[in-house]
Amino acid sequence: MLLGRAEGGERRVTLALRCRNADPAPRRRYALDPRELLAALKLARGRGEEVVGFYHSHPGGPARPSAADLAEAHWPGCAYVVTAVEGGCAGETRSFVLAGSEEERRFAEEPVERGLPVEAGGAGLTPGGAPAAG
Amino acid sequence: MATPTPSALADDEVQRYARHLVMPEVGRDGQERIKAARVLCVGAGGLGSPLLLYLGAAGVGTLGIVDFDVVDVSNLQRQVIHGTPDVGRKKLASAAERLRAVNPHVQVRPFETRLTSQNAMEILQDFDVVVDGTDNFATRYLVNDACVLSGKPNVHGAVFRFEGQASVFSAPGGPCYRCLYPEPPPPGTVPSCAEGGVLGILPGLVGLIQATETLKLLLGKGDPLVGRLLLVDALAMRFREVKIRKDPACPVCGERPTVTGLIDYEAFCGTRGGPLEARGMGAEMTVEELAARRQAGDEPLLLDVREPHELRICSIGGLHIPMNEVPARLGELDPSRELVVYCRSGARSGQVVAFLRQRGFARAVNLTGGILAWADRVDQKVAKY
Ligand SMILES: [Zn+2]
Ligand SMILES: [Zn+2]
Repeated sequence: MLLGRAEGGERRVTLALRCRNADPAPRRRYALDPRELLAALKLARGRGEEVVGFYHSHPGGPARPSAADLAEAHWPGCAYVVTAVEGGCAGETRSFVLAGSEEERRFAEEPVERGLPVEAGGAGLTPGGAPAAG
Repeated sequence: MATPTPSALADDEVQRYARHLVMPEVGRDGQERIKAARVLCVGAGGLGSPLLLYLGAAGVGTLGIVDFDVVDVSNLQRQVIHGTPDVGRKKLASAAERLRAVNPHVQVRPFETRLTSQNAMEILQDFDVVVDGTDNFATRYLVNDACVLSGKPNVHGAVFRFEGQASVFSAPGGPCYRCLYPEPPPPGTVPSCAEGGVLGILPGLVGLIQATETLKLLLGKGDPLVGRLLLVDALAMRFREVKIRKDPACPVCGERPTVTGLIDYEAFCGTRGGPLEARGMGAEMTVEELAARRQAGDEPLLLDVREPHELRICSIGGLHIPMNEVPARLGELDPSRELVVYCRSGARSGQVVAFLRQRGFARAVNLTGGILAWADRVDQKVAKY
């Protein structure tokens, strides 16, 4: 999960939280544990921030959301960041904002800017924003 | 849930429900179903007030209410079914009178009692849907387990300060409250609305989400809040959903349930109907929250109250003061600092937290589920014993 601030259609990430993949087929799909999601919301509130996005990787797959990713995405305005992984190495990283209504949801790609490294060993991503202040 | 057999409408009811009858999703057939329906509301307080008013106005034929409380003047800020002249009256009497005024076609069935393990199954058996408007964990777990055991949907709602949540538990194929929270937080670690406050409007918002879900269940229409926990943030005015799956290991609705009958919920929750707020919004700390704080580099001070020999088996760090030595060693702790107390299961540390809070450690919280929960859900390398 990605914590930070959202302003003027841009999200600035200050903290990347690693989460367990609660899906029974974790190499092919990802699912959040609701208890971890509730914990992240509480942490964000304590920091005066919000959950601005979610990140995951596609081992052996492209850096774009799968149909399953769209089906599992429910938070409009959040960035869904996907990193391609080839041979155990991180490849391209792209970010997609969930847009549209609940019936007609779609992903809109946004530019990713790398700022200073975000906290906690995160990827240093600043989806759609100016360089992160740290 | 078996949708109720329709019950014919009288002429004055046709006029009364005209705005429903013209809707294709309701119509005469749907309204007759609503009339035949029997809904039980546990609690006539903040959540129960608005939802009873609207379910009564909508024409739910039988409304059961379980409550034994008396109207207090501090209730009136949100419990809109009661009025100023009702202060000092039984909530049941006040609610029933108001419902009769709203809609004389509604039959009110009052249960002037605390819902208990002894009476819950008997009370529930005459109802199609249960709406949870309780204000304590013991009753919330009781309502959940009784609904699962009797196969009735449990329309859940909770509020605290500016936040609320709602879901439909125990619907066919859907999860229950225990799939999300298998166990209650230890006593004394969660502030109640009385202590923490609640925006008066919020139970209205959440109670009416519960009422909406109830009507949808009765009509068999729409997409019910099954497998989804709806989070309401009134300050940001944002609604978010968290997906909840039915947990195959759930102690009550799982594949091998360990809870097959109602238990002693006050012992289970360690308190006589102790205070309640929506989970995850207050002072208790889950292992997931501690893990997130650790990742954020914002780890609170941990206090391990286990015995020295347990410490040699495993540890998740922090200061170590065995439970029995805590009273004598209070001077080593800073009452102004956030303090997360843990033990093996959360039971001993819960008692320590209650003690510390009495001594002015307002920011002491208990690690729910202790090392066992940490080993299960955060770090499998930690030894369980
Ligand atoms: Zn994916
Ligand atoms: Zn369950």
